[in-house]
Amino acid sequence: MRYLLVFLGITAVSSILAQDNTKLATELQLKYKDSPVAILSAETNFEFTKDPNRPLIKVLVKETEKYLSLRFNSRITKSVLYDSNSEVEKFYGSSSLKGEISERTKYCGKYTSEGYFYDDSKFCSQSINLKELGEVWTINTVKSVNDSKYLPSCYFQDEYPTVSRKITFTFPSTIDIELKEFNFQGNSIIKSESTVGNNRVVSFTVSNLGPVQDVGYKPGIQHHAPHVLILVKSVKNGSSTQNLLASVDDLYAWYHSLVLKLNTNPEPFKPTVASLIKDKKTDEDKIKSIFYWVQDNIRYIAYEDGIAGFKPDDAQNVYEKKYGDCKGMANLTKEMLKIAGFDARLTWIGTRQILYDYSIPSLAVDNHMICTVVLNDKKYFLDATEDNVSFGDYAERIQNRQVMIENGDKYILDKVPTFDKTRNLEQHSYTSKINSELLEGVGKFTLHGETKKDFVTHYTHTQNDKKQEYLEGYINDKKSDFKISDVKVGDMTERSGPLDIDYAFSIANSVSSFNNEMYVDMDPEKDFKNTVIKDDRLVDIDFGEKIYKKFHVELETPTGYTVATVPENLTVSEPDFSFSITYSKNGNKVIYNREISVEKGTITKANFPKWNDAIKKLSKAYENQLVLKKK
Amino acid sequence: MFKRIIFTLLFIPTFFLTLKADSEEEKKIKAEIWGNTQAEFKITQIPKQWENESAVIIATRLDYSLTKSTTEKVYSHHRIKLLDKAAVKEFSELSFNEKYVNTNLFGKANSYSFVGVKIIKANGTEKEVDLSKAVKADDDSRKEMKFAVPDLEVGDIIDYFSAGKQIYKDVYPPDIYENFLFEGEYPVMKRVVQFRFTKGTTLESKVYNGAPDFIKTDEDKEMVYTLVDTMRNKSEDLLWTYDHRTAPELRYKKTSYFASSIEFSATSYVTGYDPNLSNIGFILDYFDANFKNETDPKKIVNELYYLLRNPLYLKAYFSIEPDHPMGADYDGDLFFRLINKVLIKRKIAHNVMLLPSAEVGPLNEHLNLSTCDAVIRVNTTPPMYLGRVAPFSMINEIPATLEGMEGVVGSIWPRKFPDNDQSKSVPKSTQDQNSTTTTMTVALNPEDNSKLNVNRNTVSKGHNKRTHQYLAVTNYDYLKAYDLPKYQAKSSSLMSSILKKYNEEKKKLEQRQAQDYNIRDTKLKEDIESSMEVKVSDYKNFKLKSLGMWEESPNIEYSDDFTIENVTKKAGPNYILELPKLIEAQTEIKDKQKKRDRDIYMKYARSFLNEINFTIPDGYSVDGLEALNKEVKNNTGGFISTAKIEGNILKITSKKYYSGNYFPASDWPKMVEFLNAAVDFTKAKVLLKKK
Repeated sequence: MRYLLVFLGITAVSSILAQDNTKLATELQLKYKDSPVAILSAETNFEFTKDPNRPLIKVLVKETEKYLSLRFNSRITKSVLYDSNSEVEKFYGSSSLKGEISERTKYCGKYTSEGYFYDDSKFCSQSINLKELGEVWTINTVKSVNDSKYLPSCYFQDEYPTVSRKITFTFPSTIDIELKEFNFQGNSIIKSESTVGNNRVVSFTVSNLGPVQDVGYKPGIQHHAPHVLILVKSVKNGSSTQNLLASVDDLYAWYHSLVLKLNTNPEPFKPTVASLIKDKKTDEDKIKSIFYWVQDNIRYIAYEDGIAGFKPDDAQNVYEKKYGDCKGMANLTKEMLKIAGFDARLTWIGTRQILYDYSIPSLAVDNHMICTVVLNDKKYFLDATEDNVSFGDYAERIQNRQVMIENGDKYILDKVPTFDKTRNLEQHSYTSKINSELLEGVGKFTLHGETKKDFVTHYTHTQNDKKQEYLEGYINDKKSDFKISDVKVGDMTERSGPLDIDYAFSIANSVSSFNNEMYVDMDPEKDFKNTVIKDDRLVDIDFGEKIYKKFHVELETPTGYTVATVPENLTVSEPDFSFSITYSKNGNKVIYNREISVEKGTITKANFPKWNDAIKKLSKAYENQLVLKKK
Repeated sequence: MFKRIIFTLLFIPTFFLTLKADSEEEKKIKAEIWGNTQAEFKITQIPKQWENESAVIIATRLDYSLTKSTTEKVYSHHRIKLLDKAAVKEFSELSFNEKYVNTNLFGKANSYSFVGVKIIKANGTEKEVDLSKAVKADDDSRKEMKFAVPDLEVGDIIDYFSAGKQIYKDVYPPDIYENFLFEGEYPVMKRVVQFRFTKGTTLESKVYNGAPDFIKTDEDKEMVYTLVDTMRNKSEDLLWTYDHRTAPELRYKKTSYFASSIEFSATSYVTGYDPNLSNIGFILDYFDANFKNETDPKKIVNELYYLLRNPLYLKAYFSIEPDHPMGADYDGDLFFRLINKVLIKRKIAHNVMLLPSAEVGPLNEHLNLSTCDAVIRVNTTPPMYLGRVAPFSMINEIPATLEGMEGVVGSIWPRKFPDNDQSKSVPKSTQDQNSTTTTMTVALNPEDNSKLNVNRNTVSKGHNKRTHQYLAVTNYDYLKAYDLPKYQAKSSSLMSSILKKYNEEKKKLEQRQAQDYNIRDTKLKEDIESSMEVKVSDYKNFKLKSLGMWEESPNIEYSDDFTIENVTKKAGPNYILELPKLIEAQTEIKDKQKKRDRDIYMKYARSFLNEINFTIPDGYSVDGLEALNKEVKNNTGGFISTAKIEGNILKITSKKYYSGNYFPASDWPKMVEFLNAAVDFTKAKVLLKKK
C-alpha cells in the first residue's frame, strides 16, 4: 500500500511537472521564436585525471542535458564534435514521450571546419524527434579528451536558449588548474567551490541565457560569450612539480619544440630567391620582392590534421605545392628571407577575433602565424596570407595584436603597430551637371588600406569574363539607372599608396522636374541607409575594419536656374562613430560633402540606441532634395 | 554531360582495394590515355577570341563501350587551360571516388576505376600529380576523396581523366539516354564522344539548334558512334528560355532491335491502366458515408480530387506523414490509377491522356516518358481536367508545362460511353486566368512623414497563386482547412488507426500555430522588402481570407498592414513620393540582353493588377500625374497605368500582362517595349506640394 501511495505521488508530481513544462514551453516559444528547443537544465562535469603513462592530464567530459521541446512534430539534430585527440564514449537519451536514442541510432562521420580544406574534425549525431510542445528529452554524452592542452575553454551558451546550466570541474589537488572567467558581468553566474576527498570541485551555475545569435558582423566569440578558460598549469608528482602549461614560457617551449622538428631543405627555392633579389638594390626591396612573391604565388589552403594544426609545414613542401596554411606560408617566407640573408623569424599571433594576450598560457591565445623580419633593428611583420598588403602596412585583423616572436630558446613579445581610420579612407567624388533629367559627370574613387586591399583581392579573384561587371557593380552598387563608361583603374600591382578608379557616369533617377522646379538627389550612394540594428541583437557589431568614407559632390547649377532650397546639414558625433552632411555654395556650384566614420570599426551594445538614432537621422537626411528654381 | 553514366558506374558496390602504388592495370590505362593521346590533347594554345575567358576546355573526350552486352568501359579525359585565379581555385580542389580494382579469383582485373591528373606548365613541362595524398571528403562514405592540386598557377593546363570498367553479370547494364546541351560554363575547343556497342545494340540520336550528330561506322562485330564538336561557346544567361528548345542539343539513347517509338510507349501507357477495382476501399468508404446517392459527376469528381489531396488519405495511399502537408511530394502515377478506378466504379466517362512537357517539346522529340505526365479528362460539359495532384492543385489547373501540348489519349472508360472527344491536348490558360490583383491604401505616417503606412489586399489566381500560397498559408492553416467532419469516414482498420492518431494529434495542433505564423510573417516581410526594394517596419494584422484551394473559393486572398521606411523625399516644404515603387520592382532588360536571337519561352500567360489609393494630406496638392499615365500594348503583352484624383485620394492603377507563354525571338523588341514602360513607371515620382 505504501508503495502504491508513493507511486501515485510520483504520478501526480510528474503530471504537474508536465503541465509546468508545457506552460514554460509556451512562454519560451514566444520569447525565442526561432528556437526549436530550450535547454531546461544541463549539467556538465569535467573530470581531470593524470595520465598514468604520459606526462599529460586527461579529461572526461560527462554531460546530461534536458531539452524542452518548443515545437510540435519537428526534428533537430544533436551533434557531439571530436577530433584526433578525443573520443565520444557514450551518446544516448530518452524523452518524456517514450522517444529513445542510443548508440545504435547515432551516426558519425567527418566534417571540415569552416575555412579549412581538411582538418581532423569529426562528429557523432543523433536525430531528435520533437513530438510536441513541452516534451523533455534527456540526452547523455560522455567524451574523453586525451590531453587537457587541447581543451582550452568552456562556454555557457548554446545554439538554444538555456534555462539553467551547471558546469563542474573536478580535479585532484595535485593538479594546479586556474579557471579564468570571462564576460560574466551581466549574466547571473554563481560560482561555488568545495573539497570532496582529495578533489577540488569548482562549479558555475547560470540561468536564463539566450541562444548564441546567428547575426552578421560579430566579434570573436571570446569577446562576448561568457566562458571559462581552463588553464591546466602543473601537476605534482610526489615532491616534484611538473609544469604543463604553467606560463607562456611553457607554451613557447612546446611551440618551439615543434619548430625544431622541421626539416628544412632550402635547395628547391634557392634559385627563386636568387632571381627575386637579383636586381634589387636595397634590403627593403629585396624583402618586398620575396614577401610579395609568397603573397602572389602561394595559395592559402588549410590542412590541420592533428599536430599539423600547430606545426608548420616544411618550407620546401609549401614551395613545391604552391599552397599552404598560415604557418606554412609564414615558414616559407622566413626560410626564403633567410636564404637572402635576413633575420626572419616565425611569429605567433592571435588575430582581432581573439580576446587574450600572451599573459595567458593557453593554445587559445593565438590562431595565426606570420613572419617577422628584423631590419636595421626594426621589426616588420609579414602576413603572406593577406593578398595585396604592402610591406610595412598591416591588415586590420593583425593590427595592435600582441605577437610572440621566436628567439631560439626564448621568445620576444611585441605588438603589431596600429593605424587610425585614415588608413582605410574611401574617398569618392562626383563632378556633375544636369542634362535634361540626367545627373551626368565624372566620378573618382580613391581607395586606401583595407578598402583598396578588399577591392584588389576581389577583382583579382573574379573570373576574367566577369571582371568588368564586378568593376561596374562596385561603382554603381548594381543600380541599373546608374550608367557607367570610360572606367580607368590605377595600377593594381602597385601595393603601396592609394588606388584610383576614374569613370564617367549618367544617373537617370536623381533629378525630378515638376513645373518650374528641379529636385536633385545629391547623394545616390546613400551609404549605411537604413542600417538600423535590430532590437534583439545581443552582441556588439564588429565591421572587421575601421570605417572612413568621404563623399564629395560638385554640382553645376543649370543655366536659367537658381538654388531655391538647400537641405539642412547634419552632424552626429559620438565616440564610436560620426556622420556629417554639409551643403555649401561656391559660385554657380553646389557642394555636398558627406563623411562617415566608425573609429574602431566597432559599435558596442551600449551604443546601439545612439547608432540607431543616428542612422534614422542619416537615412532621413539622404531623402532631402536640393531644390532648383527657374529664374 | 555524362555524369549519370559515370555515377552509375562508380557507385556499384564492390570490394575496395586502395592502391598505394600504380598497379599494372593503372599503368596500362595511363599509357593508353596519356601515352597514345589524340592530337587535340597535345594542344597548349587557345584561340584569341577566348583569351579573356576564365578557362578554356582545350579538349574533352568520352569513350563509352558496352561489349558482349556485359562489359562496360567508360573513359573520360579533359584538358583545360586556366586563365585566371578564379579558374585556378575552381580546379585546385578536385574530388573523386577512391580508386579501386576488383579482381577475380585469378587476379585479373574485371572492374576498376582510376583517376589521373597532370599539370602542364606554361613552359611546356609536364608533371603528374601524386594522388596518394588525397583525403576523405566530408561525408561518411568511404569512397569520396578530395585533393588539393599542387603547383597550379594561372596559365597552366590541367589534364585529367577517369577510367572505369564494370562487368554486369546478374544485372542489366544501365540504360543510356540523355538530353545533352553543348554549351557549358567554359568554351570548348574540341569535344569527342564515342559509343561502341556490340551489334544488336544501337544508338538513336537527334540534334537541335545547330548541334552536331553522331557518325556511325561499322567495325566488324561492333557499331561505333562518334560525335565531334568544335569551337563551342559557353552558355549565356538568358531570360525566359527553355534551353532544351533553344540551345544546341543532342538527344540520344541506347536501343535494341526491339525498341519501340515514343508514341507507341505513350499509347501503351494510356491503354495500360488496370480496371481492377481493388485498392479504392478508403475512397468508396468516404463516398458511402457522405455522398452515397450523389449522381452529379462534377460533384463526385470534385470530392474525389480533393479527398486525394487530404493529408490523411496521403498517409493511407502514399505513406506521406500528414504533419507537413504543404511539403508533400507525389511521385508515380498511383493517383491517376485511383481516380480512374473510382470514376469507372461511379460510371463517369473519362479518358487518360499523356502529355509531353513544353520544356522538351512535342511528344515525338522526347526520349522516353520521364519528361511526360498524365492528365485525366472527365467528359462533362465542359470537360474537367485532372492534373497531377499537389498540395494546392485544383481541377482544371494542370501543370503549366503541359498546357497546350499535344499528346496521346486512351480509349474512354467505362467502355460503354461514346468516345466523342478526340482532342489530344488540354487548353492553355490565359493571362486573365493567371492574375494577381493587389489593392493598397496608402497614407503618410502621421508621426513621421518619411514613412508610409500601407494596408494591402492581395488576390491571386491560377498559376500565379502558387507563390502566394507558399508565402501566406502555413501547414497549420492547411491542416485546419481539411479538419472537416466529412473526412472522418472510416470502416477499414487502417483508416481507423490513421484517424484515431490524427484526432489525438489534432488536439495539439494549436501548438504549432505560434511557430508557423512567426515564420510566415517573417517571410512576408522579407518578400515585401525584396520585391519593392524598401525597408519595412512594423509588419502586422495579417489576415488569410481564402487559401485558394477549394472550388467555391478558388483564389487565394489575404490582407496585411505594414510601414515602409524612407520612401518620401523632402524637397523644401514639399515631398516627393515614390508611390509607383509599391507595384514591386519590374523586370529590367540590361544592355547586353537587348539583342536576342533565341525564342522566348515562359511557363504561362499572366497578368498583374495594382491599385494604389493614396490619401492626400490636408494642405497639400499633387503634381506630376502625367508621368504615371502609360499605355503600351502589343501582341506579346502590355503595360497600362493611370493616375487620377478622386476627392482627397490619389488613385493609381496599373496592369502588366504577358499574353502568351511563347513568342519568337523577333517579338523580343515588342516585349522590351512594355517591360521598359513598366520599369519607367516604377521610377516615376509624384510631388506633394504644400499649398
